[in-house]
Amino acid sequence: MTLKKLRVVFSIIVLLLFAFIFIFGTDKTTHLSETLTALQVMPATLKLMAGAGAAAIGLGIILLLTLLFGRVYCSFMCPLGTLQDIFIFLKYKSKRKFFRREKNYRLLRYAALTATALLSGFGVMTAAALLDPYSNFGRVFTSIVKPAWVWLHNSNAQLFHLKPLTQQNIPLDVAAYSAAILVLLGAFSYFRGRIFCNTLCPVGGLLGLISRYSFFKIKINREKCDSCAKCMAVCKAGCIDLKSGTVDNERCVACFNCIEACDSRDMSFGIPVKVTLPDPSRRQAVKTISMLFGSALIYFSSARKVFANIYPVKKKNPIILPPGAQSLSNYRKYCTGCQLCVAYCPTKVLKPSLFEDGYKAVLQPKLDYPAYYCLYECNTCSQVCPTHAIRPLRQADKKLVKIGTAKFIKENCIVYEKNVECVSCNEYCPTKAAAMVPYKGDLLIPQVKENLCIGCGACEKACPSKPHKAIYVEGLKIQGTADKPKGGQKRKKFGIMKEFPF
Amino acid sequence: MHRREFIKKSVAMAATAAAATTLGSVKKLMAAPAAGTPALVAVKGAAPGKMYKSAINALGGIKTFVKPNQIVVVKPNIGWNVEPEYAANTNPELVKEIVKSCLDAGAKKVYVFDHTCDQWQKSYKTSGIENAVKEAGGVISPGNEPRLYQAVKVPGGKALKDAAVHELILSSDVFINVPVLKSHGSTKLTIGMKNLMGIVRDRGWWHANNLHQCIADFAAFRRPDLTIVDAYRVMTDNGPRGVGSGEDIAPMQSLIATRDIVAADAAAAKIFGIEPEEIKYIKYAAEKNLGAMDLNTINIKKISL
Repeated sequence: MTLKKLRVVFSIIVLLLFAFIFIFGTDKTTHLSETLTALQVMPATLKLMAGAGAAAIGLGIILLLTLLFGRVYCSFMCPLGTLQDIFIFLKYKSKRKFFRREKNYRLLRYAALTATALLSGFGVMTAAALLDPYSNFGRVFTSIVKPAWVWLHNSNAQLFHLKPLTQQNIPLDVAAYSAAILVLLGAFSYFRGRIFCNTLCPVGGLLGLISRYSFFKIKINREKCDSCAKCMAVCKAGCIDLKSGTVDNERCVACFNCIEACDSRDMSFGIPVKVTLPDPSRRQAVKTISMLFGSALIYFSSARKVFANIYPVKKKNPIILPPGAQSLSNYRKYCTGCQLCVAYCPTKVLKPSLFEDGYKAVLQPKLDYPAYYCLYECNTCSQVCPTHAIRPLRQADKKLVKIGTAKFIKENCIVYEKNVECVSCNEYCPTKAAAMVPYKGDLLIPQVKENLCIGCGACEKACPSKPHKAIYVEGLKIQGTADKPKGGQKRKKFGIMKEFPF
Repeated sequence: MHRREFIKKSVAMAATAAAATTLGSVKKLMAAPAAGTPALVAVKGAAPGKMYKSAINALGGIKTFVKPNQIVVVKPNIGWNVEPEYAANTNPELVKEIVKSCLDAGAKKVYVFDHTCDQWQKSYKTSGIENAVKEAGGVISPGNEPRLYQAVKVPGGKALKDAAVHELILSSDVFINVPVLKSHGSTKLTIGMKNLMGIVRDRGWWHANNLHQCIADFAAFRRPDLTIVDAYRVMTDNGPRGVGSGEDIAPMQSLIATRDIVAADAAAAKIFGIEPEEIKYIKYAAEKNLGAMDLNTINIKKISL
């Protein structure tokens, strides 16, 4: 097996595994997600920054491999890289099947890397979220591929007696943004190969720096080379310079296409003789970056609903974070918006937003109340989060994590308005924080026991008051711990029944 | 379900309802099929499957309810993403035994569904009911999609005049209601009639428009051919979902089986220690002559295993 074939097979397997977890992931496949994302540079780095020492293992493996073999990560492990390779494969099958030599774009590359590193260091995830290849891949799959799959599945579910799936909860702007990214990435990779990886990708920038010093490099045997340029034509990184007979190892993504294409096998992967670095081009850099960012800014502002009612629900803090996020500042610091939690969330209460909550929160998911609520027994998002933006929680602990507090507006309540029983909120409440207290006659009315409330939002979803809810959840900037609900008060009345009471 | 079939069944149902009102009393229609057969069977002291078997035998066997090639729909309570031992849902072993007996009686297909409260795929799985139904050879069917529901009129409804009902309820020949007996915040108890909230689309509307009257009104729509109340494990407090601990669960090891949904709820309420009249929807249903709230008026067989 040649190196190229090994690369193709390996990268396809990795891509399929990623596609699998994003499309079919359930609480049974969290270990697979953990393993896969542990070997992704950006999530592993953030996880390490968040204090998870174990993340150093995955990161160490990748960095060591890069030091040995160059940017093999980009061609073997990166799901976005392999996604681009699909478009590049189409190019190879087309009529104009050659890539041209690219300029270095060093300035742009370093600028993207520096900006990402600095901003992330200061706890602002905007650059990391927009540029991280893994997160971009995740968004394409969660907001385009998975919804398409669910639609296809559900439209044929009846025919094949399949169980319908719950559709993703993706706002239009996020879907449009992800689609734009996919189109741009497809176009750029078709015409310019791995140009994203060598300009805007911060992971490419970082690994490029290391691979300058890597042990194994692609080299050209200049004595035998007849300058046929077949290697240049297949080089999707555009990093081969035949005039000087050198390969720019900083930009080489180690795809090994050149070795395969070389007639006289005058190219080899080995210890190099010499490395040269061409000059960067500023103009090209500015052009590329403005094009990419310009398209990224396509923004459909979500319509804000205006109510005429006199008791509208005005949330002071509508941002409700998944349990395990710990605090708004922790979450903002580590989430790159890869949407793995969104893909896994069984109730689809997790929903990404684009610019709704400011640039620091770009593409970071939050809980979408009252569209659905956070399921009491579920801790899946905390199990799959690859960056520790959502810290792992055991199920028993998750049940006590307080992500918000329910508030009751008596004037909106059906019991107050119509003098009839309702009690929907109490019915759905998993901790009975939405308690019922005597009201008029034998009527009961809700009263929130804030010490028991975990802010799951079940009451808000269940409340049938229209158009405004009588009970809603205020988010917490710092998540807390609720008291454990007590049961068993009436249990002792129920002895063993000797005879039926009728 | 096909449109033609639906129209046929709706007409048939309307005719039945009309016939019932002209006869004056629904009670006469649901009189026991053979003389000497009890109207209600109460069993205690064994595993759910075993109690079901002896109850259904006392009622004349499952074959008096299910004829060969009929379509059966079983409606347990699968409302919550809660494990069987916490008794928020109907006991899966009981559901399994019911599905199996229907198939043994020659049923063409046995469907099981609920319009769950928690996310339905999770609830089906965690409750153990999805697995139980598959093992028994039945079909577990979705209940949470709006397109599965069809608009119907509710005859004689005071608060509830129309509803959207799951198509399986409209298209099946036999309807078996399998509630679990639980404490409930709003209605004190949830039993048989309350379980029927899981066959309609918009139960939020019921909550907002006199819940008890809606429950009683809807009981007149499609009377279950059989109601089997699961009181094997009983949630004594913090219902209907429970607070995730076993502290509220009492092992009462009982089961009630009857054609009369009102009598089923009355008997279950008594087992729980509450007089049936205290539960408004039972009282309202009895006032509408939908069944017997006074258990002294019907023939009850009690079995201790």
